[in-house]
Order: sequence, then structure tokens, then C-alpha cells
Amino acid sequence: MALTGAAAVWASFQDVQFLALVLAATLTGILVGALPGLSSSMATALLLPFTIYLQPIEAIAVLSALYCAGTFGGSITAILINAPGAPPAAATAFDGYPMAKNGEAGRALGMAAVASSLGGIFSLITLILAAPALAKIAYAFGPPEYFALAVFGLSMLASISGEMAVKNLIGGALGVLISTIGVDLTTGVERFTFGSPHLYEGVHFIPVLIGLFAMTELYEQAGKHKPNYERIRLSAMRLPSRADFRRVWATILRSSGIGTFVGILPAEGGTVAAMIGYNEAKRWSPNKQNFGKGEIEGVAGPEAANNAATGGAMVPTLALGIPGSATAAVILGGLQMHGLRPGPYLFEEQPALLYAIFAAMLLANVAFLALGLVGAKGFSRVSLIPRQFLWPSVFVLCLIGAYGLRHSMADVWIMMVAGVVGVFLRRHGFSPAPIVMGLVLGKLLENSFAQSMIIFDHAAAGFLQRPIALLFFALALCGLFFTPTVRLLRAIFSKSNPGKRS
Amino acid sequence: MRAPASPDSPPPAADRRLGGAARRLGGAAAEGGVLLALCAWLYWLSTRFDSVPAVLSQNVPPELFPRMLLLTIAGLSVVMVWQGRGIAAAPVPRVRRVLLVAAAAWIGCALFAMTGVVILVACCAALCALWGERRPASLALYALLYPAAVYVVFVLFLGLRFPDGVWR
Repeated sequence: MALTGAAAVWASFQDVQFLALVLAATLTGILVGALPGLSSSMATALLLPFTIYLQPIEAIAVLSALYCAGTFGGSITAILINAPGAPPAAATAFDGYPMAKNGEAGRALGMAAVASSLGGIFSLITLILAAPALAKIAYAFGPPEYFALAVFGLSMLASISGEMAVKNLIGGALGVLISTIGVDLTTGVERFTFGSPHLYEGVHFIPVLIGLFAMTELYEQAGKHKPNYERIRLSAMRLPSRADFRRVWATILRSSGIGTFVGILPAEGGTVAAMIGYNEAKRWSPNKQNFGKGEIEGVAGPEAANNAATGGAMVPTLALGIPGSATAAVILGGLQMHGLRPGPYLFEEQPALLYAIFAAMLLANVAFLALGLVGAKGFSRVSLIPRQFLWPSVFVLCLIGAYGLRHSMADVWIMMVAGVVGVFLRRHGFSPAPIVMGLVLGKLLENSFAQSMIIFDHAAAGFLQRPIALLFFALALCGLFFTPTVRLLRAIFSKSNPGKRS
Repeated sequence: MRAPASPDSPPPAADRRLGGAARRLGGAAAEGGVLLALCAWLYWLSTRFDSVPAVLSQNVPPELFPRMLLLTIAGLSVVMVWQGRGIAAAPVPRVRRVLLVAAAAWIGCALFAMTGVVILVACCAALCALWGERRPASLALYALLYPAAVYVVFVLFLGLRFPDGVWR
């Protein structure tokens, strides 16, 4: 089996078109990741409608490679201009930029590339081992278990950010609500269509994705002043020395494990993984006093973690159909768009697709290391692209992406409305990612709920007789109430022991 | 992101606009109010769905799931208001250029349906100028070359059909 898999991955590498597409996606991913304001979520959302011209295997491979490379690309501008190109690279700037200011930009970038690559490959091995195993477990799942799993996935939105937990949950529920628009397939009843025939088939998620990720960012950028970055000169990216490796290997290993685990958790993504990776690197480091001043472990930790989260996030996405991050939600949308049903049957019916994804992610992780070494100086210049040309170009791509999907102006209007709604939501502290997660999971949630109710003869108590479903509900409750409970206990404890308050 | 309201400091401009009651409750009150109103309106809409016999809906009527979601959102909105009490609303950022860009984008989309690819030239020029480009040559070059590249890639190479509009 393993030999068959390795042979399939090797065969993918020998396909010139596949190779060219994945390398192009990797290059695009680094460029997009390096551009402050453009994220891998936005790039995959923009690219998604155009993948319709590709074979399903190539399309998903391209999106996966873009996801990996985009996560790395953010570190280039984080280190050189203290402006993370993408949110997962925010933690890299804490020590990467001070290193660059100390004249060690090449060393910081080299470490970022190597740590990202190793983290990505570590998580990819986990993906290859864990996803089929998880898929085998999922064979035992029926509609009640899938409903409980989807509820668990959405409940994890609460833990993305403790401060905005409730808003994330509201966003997730709004996304599911949007998925109910259209004609109910069981009864033929129109729901929230306002009599418009364009909405009978429901709201396609791609225009909403483009609107929420790209148009919202475009409006936000329109309201910002031109940023004035202090640029650090870079002569060349330098591979880490043996001494550097001895210093960071444990950090890379630990952060790769953390990143993979955080990525596997539904809804958690590279940003959370990178923050935890950075904090743990600091906690375990003998040089913790140097953190924030240009400590190389402070670059290796978050970079290994955020790239490890990409492979981790693909585990539940492929095995269960529950996205592990916002970008994985877009890739899940891509699978659905190409008529592929994620879950255990994907492993049985489409092994070629899975091997192609593994091959693409492996290639991307190796390619961005090589491309980074060769072209870091050039990639850092991407942030010099004038905003007055960049954002109008993004708008045209949004317009064509939304229209080109079904040659429908209705989709363009949906994209535009989603963009405006996204601006309002973002200004009031609602992130677009939970809405996208809700939208992508919406149909699964409603269909599995309806099927469960039929199985249980309309008695919701039937869920209590399904141990796996109960486990997911229990995990969902833990995810929802763990942080508030800990805070409450801390508040009670600090009130009862005021002298010990620190 | 949000500064806690201090009784000693004067309220920010955005907060003053909210009025006394909202200020006491905090910025979350306005957000919660909007969400609760939206939920109430959508719930009312769900009462106007066509009714179907129980046997056809297999005991899962079409309004059941949306209503569950609306009740969940309403409940969470109440929690959000409770959590946000006493926290002032965030100041509203500059919006003039956002409004101009949004207007240009919406007009561009409306005209795209009528004129197809031609409008992309005007759209690119308008957005580029709104973003601050003042050099006529750069503006014209960009406004002509980018839509031309888009046309070559998407229409000639990928075979995408833009709306014919008035050129039909």
C-alpha cells in the first residue's frame, strides 16, 4: 500500500503539466503571501473559480500548493519590513525583524524557510498517516455522527480567539443560515429567496468567499493610508549553520508537533499555531531573555508551527469533510465544486487525488525552500508593487472570478453584497473566516440533522444513544465552555486570595 | 482593539453618536440590536414559508432548521451584548475613499452587465485614480494594458464569455 502510494506520488512528479502547475502555484503563493493585505485564504478564494478549467486533481493540487507556499511567503515581509504578508507570519516578525535590523536578515530568512519546510514536511507525513486512519474511523459515522462532528467543528470557532468567541460563533451560525437560502430539496419550499429565481439553487459559496475575503480587504485597504515601511537591505538568504541547527532542532520539532495538532483541530489555523509555537519556543528556550530582540528560535518556532498547520488542517478536511482552517474551507469548497465528496469514500474512490495532494504539498514545501533561497531578494520587492495598481487589479479578478463561475451576473451581485457586508462585520469585530466555515459546513449540518431526525423518528433524544455523537457533543461543550469556566474560576480564586494576585 | 469606557474621560465621537442608552450598554448593544432585529425579521419571514404536509416533510419541516439557527444567533447576540456592556464603541475609521471606491466598484459591476469587457478599462482607470495615481501616462497605460491582458487570458485563452451587453 505504502509502495503504491510512493509510486503514485513519484508518477505525479513525472507529469510535466502537474509539475509546472504546482511550481507556478508555489511561486504565486510566495508572492501573494509576501504582499501585505493579500492572504492565502484570499488567493485560494480568488483562484478557485478559475480552477474549473483544470482537471479536479490538478485543481486541488494547485490550491494545496498555494496554501503551503502562501503561509511561508508571509514571513519574507514580516522579517524584512516588519509587515507580515499574512496573519500566520505575525509571530515571525517579533524576532525576525529585530534580527534583520541587527544585520541578520539573510540568516532569519534562511531559518524561516528551513523551519517552514521542515514543519510542512512533518505535517505532511502526519497527513499521509493520519488521514486514511481517520477516514477508516469515519466509516462508522452515520448522519447523527456527522451532525455532531459538524457542530463540534463550528464550536471550535469559539476558541480561535477568546476575545471574540461569541462573535465567531455568531459568524459561523450566519454562514450556516446563508446556506439555507434556496429551495429546500426535501419539500420544494422556497426559503429566503425573496421571489428571485437566481436564489432558487441557493447562494453559491464562491462569490461569497470572494466577497468576504477579497472585496472586504479591498474596501479596507481603500480606507488605509499608504504604509511607510522601513526596509532592511538583504544581500542573500543564508541557510542556517550547523550551530543554528543544534540550537533550534528541538524548537522546530516541538513547533511542528504543535502546529500539526492545532491544524487538525477544526477551525484552528496557522495564526493560532504560530502564536502557540512562538510562546512555547520562548518558554522552553534557555535564551528566553533574547526573545523580541532577535532570537533565532523566535523565528524557527512560529514558522515551523504555521506551516505544520497546513498539513494538519488538511487531515479533517480530507478525511471528514470538516475544514481545519479558513483556507482549508476554501479547498473543501474546491472539492465540492469539482464534484468530489470528502470523507472516507474519497480515500476509497479517489486515491489518485489524494496522492496528487500529497505530491503537490511535498513539492511546494521543497520548492519554496529552493525558491526562497534563490529569490528572497526579489520576493521582498513584491511589497513595492504600487497599491494603486494592485487593488484595482484585484477588483477585476474578483469581478471575473464571480462572473466566470456560472456566467451569471447574480453571482457578481452576491459577491458585491458579501463584500459590503464583510466590511460592516469586520469593523464590528466579526471575522470572515467563521462565516465561510459555516457556509461550507451548512449543507452537511442541515442534511445530517434532517436525516438524523428521520432515523430517530423526530425524537432528538436519539442522539443520546449514539456514543460517537455524544463524544463530539461533549467535545463541543468543552470547546465552548472551557475558557469561560477557567476565567470564572480564576476570578473567584483571585477574589478569595487578593494578596496572591499578580 | 476596544478601550474600556472610563467615567472620567469624555466619550469619543462615535460613542456620542450612539446616544446615552447605547453608551451605557456599550457598543455591543447596537450590534446586538441589529442582529436581534435581523433574526426577528427572518423568523417572521420563516412563518411565511409555504406549508407542506408532515408526511412530505418527513417530520422535518423546512422552517425548522433556519429557526433553530435564528434562535441560536439571537441567544448568542444577547450573550454578546451582556459581555460587551460598559465597553465603548470603536471609533469609525475614515470612510470617504472607501465610499468612493465602493461606488466605483458597484457602478463598474452594473456597467459590466451592459457593456462587457469594455468597462474594465474605465473601471481600472477610475479605481487607480481613486487610489491616488496622478500620472496620466501610467494611468492610461495601466487602464489599457491590464484589461487587454485579462481579455487575452480569460476570453481568448480560457474561453470565458463576458456579457455581450449593448454590443450584442
